[in-house]
Amino acid sequence: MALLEIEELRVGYGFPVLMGISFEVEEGETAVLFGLNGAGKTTTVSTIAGMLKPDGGAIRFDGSDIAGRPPTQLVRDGVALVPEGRRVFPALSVSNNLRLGSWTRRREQAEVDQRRQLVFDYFPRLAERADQAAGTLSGGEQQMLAIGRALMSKPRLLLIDEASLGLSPALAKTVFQVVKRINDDGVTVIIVEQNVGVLPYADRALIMEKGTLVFSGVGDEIRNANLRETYLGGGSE
Amino acid sequence: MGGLFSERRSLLIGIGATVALVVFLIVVGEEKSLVIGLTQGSAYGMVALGLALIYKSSGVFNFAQGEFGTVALYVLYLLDIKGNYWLAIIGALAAAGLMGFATERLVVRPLFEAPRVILLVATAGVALLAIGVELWFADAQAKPVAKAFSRNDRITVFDVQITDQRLWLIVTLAALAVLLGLFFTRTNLGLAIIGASQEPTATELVGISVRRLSSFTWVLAAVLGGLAAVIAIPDLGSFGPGAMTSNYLIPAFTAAVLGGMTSLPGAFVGGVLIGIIQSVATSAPLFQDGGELAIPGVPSTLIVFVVLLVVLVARPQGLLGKRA
Amino acid sequence: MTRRALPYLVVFALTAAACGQKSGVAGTGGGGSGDGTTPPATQAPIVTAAPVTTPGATEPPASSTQPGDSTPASTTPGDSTPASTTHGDSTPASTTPGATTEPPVAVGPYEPGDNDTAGVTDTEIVIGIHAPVTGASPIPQESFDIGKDIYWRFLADNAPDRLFGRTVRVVFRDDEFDPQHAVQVCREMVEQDGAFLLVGGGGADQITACAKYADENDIPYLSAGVNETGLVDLATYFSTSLSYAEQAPLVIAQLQAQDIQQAALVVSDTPSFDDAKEAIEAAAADAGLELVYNKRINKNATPAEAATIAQELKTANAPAVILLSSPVVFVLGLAPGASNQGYDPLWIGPGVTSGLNGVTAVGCPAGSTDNAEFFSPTPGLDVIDELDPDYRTAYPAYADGADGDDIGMQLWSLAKAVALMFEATGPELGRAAFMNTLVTSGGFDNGIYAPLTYTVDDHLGGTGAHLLRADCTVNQYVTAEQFVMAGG
Repeated sequence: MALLEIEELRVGYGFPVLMGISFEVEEGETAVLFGLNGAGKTTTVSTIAGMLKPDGGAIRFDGSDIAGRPPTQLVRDGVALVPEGRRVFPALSVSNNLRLGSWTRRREQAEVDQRRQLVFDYFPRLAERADQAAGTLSGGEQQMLAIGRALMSKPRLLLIDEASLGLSPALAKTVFQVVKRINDDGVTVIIVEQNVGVLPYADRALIMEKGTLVFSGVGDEIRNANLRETYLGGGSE
Repeated sequence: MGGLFSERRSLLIGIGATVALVVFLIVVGEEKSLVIGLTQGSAYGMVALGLALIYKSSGVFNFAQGEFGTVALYVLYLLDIKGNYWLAIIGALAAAGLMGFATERLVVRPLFEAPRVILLVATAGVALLAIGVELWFADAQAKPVAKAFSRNDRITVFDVQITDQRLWLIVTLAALAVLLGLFFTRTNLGLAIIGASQEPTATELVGISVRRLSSFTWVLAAVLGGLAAVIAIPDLGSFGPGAMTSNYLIPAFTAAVLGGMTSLPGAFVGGVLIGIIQSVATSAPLFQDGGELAIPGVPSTLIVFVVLLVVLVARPQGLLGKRA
Repeated sequence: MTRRALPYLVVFALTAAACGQKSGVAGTGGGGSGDGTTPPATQAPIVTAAPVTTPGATEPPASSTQPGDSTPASTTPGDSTPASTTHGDSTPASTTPGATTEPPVAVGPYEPGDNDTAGVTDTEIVIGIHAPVTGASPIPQESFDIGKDIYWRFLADNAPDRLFGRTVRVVFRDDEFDPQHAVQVCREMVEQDGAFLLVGGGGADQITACAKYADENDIPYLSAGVNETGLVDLATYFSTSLSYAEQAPLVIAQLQAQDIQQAALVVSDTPSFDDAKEAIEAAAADAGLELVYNKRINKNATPAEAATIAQELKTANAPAVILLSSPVVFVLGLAPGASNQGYDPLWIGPGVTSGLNGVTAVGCPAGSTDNAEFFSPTPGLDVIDELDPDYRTAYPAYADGADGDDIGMQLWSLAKAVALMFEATGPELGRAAFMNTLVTSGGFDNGIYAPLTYTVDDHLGGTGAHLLRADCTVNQYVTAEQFVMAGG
């Protein structure tokens, strides 16, 4: 059984945005959701994380239907979203951002300490800036913090929306590498991206166009299909 | 580093300005205003504390803050007639908290997505409604309210007596400013309230219900408003409909702005400063008829509003506030 | 919201007005005596009030008089003068106004205008009253709503012929303590409700604004005495009690009577109080009373401002403080501020607002108004039975059993004075005739106010006041002295 199963998912904002997409992500995979602006990528992950209510279809996480559950519940269930634009708490320190990330586990102090150490381990820069207000961090550091904050809830499924947006290629690569490590440590990851530089880290690629899924492949299928030319308009690195 | 530095700098500016003010007032013979400002301004500070709390968490200037207090006074009045004073105080605070809860549920929450200015107007509506109900209940008649501590002459500074009731107010306010400061920097709940005020979406995404936080914040602010009223007003002996709004809201708002709007210690310092300014404006010959700074036909205490304007123009973040 | 206030307490404020008037009773040597105003050119007799029911009668509302019952004075068989009868107690001094059954139509400076009889029909007279029941310094609406027409209902039931077959209907509007709004509601009462005359229930600035409107439209306007500036030049304005300035010598004399040689003076900083302040200063100077402290206070003073003034008063340490401010500033600011500082002077002043029982009701328990004396158009409730026994019996009968309060008494007294004026004007009631009657009659003595006297040139009708003193054993003001006459 796949960790996440999406079946005929339909979502709209008064007008249809997702026209009934279906896909699965196996436990331990890193899936990449590609597509141009407006294709429905953010809508897809936001719906999975509970920020949007689906009009129809099913979202099964670890076998149970989670469609329509609020985000506060889904965090407890093990689904965490790193939202588009990072959304760190600017006036709070890095430490306190992480502390809020562990809200659902706030009564398990040992666990929280351990998670924080893990995050600092992934992102040593955050450790250096632990007492600094998040609003004063660079874009890359804020992205790291946003991912770190999501990890504090000990998710089984981590959704990252536009992980590399606004980052330099080198910094984007760093972020992808850390995501790979997170994945290697057992967290299933779905990354929304427009940057094909993420492909080498992907176990599964999902390509969306105008609210539908036009490609879904794993392993060699990704490498063999000429994704860039076929679907992504020769997109940039 | 920048953040820390500017915070410390703000604190130093505040402390420096306070010391300079104290020295200046003693030199020019207005030292009594220091004591009066502290005793009277602490009431402003207490109301300002609630204003800052709501502003900090929801970005709204809460016009109903005063009436949380007046409602508490009516409950104190009703319960005190037939029972234990301290139980009456607790009942009064509970009533204030209940009103805060109801305000949040019935007014704030339905307008969660509305522009903040709509919410501001809505809180003004709550205040007017409360005053209307008070008028209906009490019909413009003042109601007596007894002091918890009746001794007036325990402490005298610069020939000004500080009543025990005022002393209670000052101590409570100072303690609250510190405790709330710790609450917002050291506790999960406090951090969550700040987080929710800045990034409600992200707050939900880490598992915190923003709406529940909102309820909590309004109840807390309302209880603070009630506390301000039940401690400060008995020193005057009586109150009427809209008492807290009419006597304290505007000075408290000024105090909150002066203190930085989101800074809790700033609300305390701002309240005391406004108290001192009002007292000096009332007593210093400079501002009286014939004084060098007097404006014929203009009450000397309008100077308070001048201060507010100057602060807003010169230092929008207030004395202890942080630049957004 | 920026207006401070709402409310406060108090009531007070003006109330006085609502009522207003002062009066005199025959008790002190004859109405009009000692009046500083010029006597009327025509030596018309003073009009005095007849008791409507016999003292002690306890069933006022029954409208039919019963044989043997004592009697509404005005319907006594044989007595043909509905307008004024001799005073029930022995004051022959007052005479009936005319030998005929109806008073002659007064001749005077007022010429009937286009709307001279607006608000009057064969069966009804409409009176419009404005007062603040919301806003910064409201009067309790309940006292007002109940009290505003009790006298008129009582009169209609017990002496239906006194007003020549007419009854009086009172319309009331809230002026919200806002002069502009006051003008608007006065206009509405005239144009929509058809008010014949207007009464200012309280609030100097609202009274001044509305009186000006009334003057421009030839409408009679009555209010308790407040400021003089802005009012004395209005042709249709008539005060029904001493103005603040007229009370100044009474205040100073009272201090001297208590052997007080030094006092402090605190006056709200509204321009309306300028003339009163000058009058107090002049009276003090004339009497050799030293003002050791003299300052204006913000009329909407915050607690910090009031506490500062209280502190300065303590430092000045005068045995008495002469005060002219809103009762809010007094009972919520200066009085507790001084009390908290251990300073306990005699608080004394003109006007009525700080002399309302709403002040002692809260000031006494707080221990801040034990030593307060204020002048008032009406006496304390403690002596009203002596001056008009009908009030205490009539009030509960028309107010579902509620006891009459001091505000109700002021409304009662005002209505009683206006009733005398209507009677004296006669059946041909018009605005010009009404005002001509006021300025040519010998005055009006309703037994509660000091007598009211008007001349063509002087429309400030008050001649005296009562001195009230706080009695904190009952949390009320009681009458320290009745009919303290001005100008004497």
